[in-house]
Amino acid sequence: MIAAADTAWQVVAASKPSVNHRKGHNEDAWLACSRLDRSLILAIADGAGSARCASAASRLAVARARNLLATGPLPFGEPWHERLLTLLWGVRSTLLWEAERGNGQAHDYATTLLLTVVTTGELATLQLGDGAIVVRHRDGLLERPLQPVRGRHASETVFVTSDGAMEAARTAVLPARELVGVALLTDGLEPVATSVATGAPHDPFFSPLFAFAGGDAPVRRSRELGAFLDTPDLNERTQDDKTLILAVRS
Amino acid sequence: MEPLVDRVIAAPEQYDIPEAGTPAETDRGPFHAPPPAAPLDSAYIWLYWGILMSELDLVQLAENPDPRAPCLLLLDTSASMSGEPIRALNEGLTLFKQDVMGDALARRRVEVAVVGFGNGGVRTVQNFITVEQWDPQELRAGGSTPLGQALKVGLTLLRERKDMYKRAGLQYYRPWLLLITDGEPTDSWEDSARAAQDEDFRRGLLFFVVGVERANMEKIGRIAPAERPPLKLKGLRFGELFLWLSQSQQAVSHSRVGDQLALPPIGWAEVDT
Repeated sequence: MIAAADTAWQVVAASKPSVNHRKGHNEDAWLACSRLDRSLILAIADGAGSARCASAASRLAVARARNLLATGPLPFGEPWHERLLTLLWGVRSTLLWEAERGNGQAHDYATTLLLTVVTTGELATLQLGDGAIVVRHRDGLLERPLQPVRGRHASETVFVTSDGAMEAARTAVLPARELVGVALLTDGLEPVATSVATGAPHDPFFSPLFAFAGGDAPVRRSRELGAFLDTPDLNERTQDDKTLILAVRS
Repeated sequence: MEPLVDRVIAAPEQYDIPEAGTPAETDRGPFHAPPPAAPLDSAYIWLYWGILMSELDLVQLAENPDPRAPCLLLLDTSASMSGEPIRALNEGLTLFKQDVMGDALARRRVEVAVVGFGNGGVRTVQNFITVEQWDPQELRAGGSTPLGQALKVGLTLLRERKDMYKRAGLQYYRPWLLLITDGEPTDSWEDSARAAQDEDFRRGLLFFVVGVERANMEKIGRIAPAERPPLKLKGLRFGELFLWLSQSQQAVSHSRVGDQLALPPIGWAEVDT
């Protein structure tokens, strides 16, 4: 369901479940939408493999994030940080409430959340948990606005429902005028899209994909991207659900 | 205020917040309504197939080393293990290797080290190596039970390995330390046991203690961390023990670094009820 959008961006996106996922269905969720003021909202959530309602959690998280951004004016500059954290608080409350209503534990609804809003002048992004957001500058340079938290096993993935989620959330705001592409991906794609040692985006991965996403017929391209995410070559390198959103300036 | 209704550009399915009271208990709750099937534009697919495939063919995947799941086996090879027990243990190790090899991902990620204590004191039979490259050596029984010294050696090996991972920028799962013993330690083990328990408490490793046959379970109970009491092997079911270890390591190596994990049920141990 990809409608012609009244925004300056074209979106191509797909999500595929892991080949040998023990649960057999996709625990990633993603969403791309635009506001009437032509702002672009992109969201990705990855339900924790150990969470009982992982796929419901990720879907709920992106839906709630969208709803919390749907109305009202968007901030500019510094106030973005507070707005994004307030939004995270809202998503967290929803998930915790949902868990409590089902007589479950908070961890039943554990999910990561990666959110990006592109207004006419700025790109604001929020990340909690793993996954990556990569932006492409007009000169072709790739950049991660939020550096990955890397290191040892003890640095546990923090989920939206975890204690300390608010402290672990990271936000960034940068000028959007020179940006021509934005990519959001879940951790299932991190081993093939970034260098694990340095966290740097892998240029031979992103450049052809951004070029691909800029072509005509985004619906068809989304389907092609889905087929690409399910190729044996890629499945051999990753064991998680894979979700990729590519937005390019049209 | 004028409502700024958003418009979905792209979504795999309709995500709506359920009305209060809508059941959402199961994983296949209201968010799983399948999207309506898109009209098949097969003509387009065939028309563009050649061009598009080549376009996405340009995408090159990054080459990244796999995260590692270190697993250290501290095995009692003292005189009391001679005969049937050591034979069963050796068989168990071979079975472990075979079972992990059946999992393409686990055999690249799981790293094994074997430290034997008994015959010839403490011996690092095998330093850390991926299961893919590992060739299990046959262990021989004999000598005393220097368990304390063996634990010390094991912890040092683990620390060195973790330092190596950090230097190489490799991600790694929480290491496992599996101690299998059948007898009384013949050296002082208190300090090294405490060191291992502390490391376990700091989430630096997972410390499992398994007693075999005549093992002094009371003493072994003091070696094991309080929250993970020692397990007593049923008879000589090393095969089942190592299959469990293999299944657990496969589950670990498929998980996300840092995520919680449910281990397969333990069928090989006597459990007090």
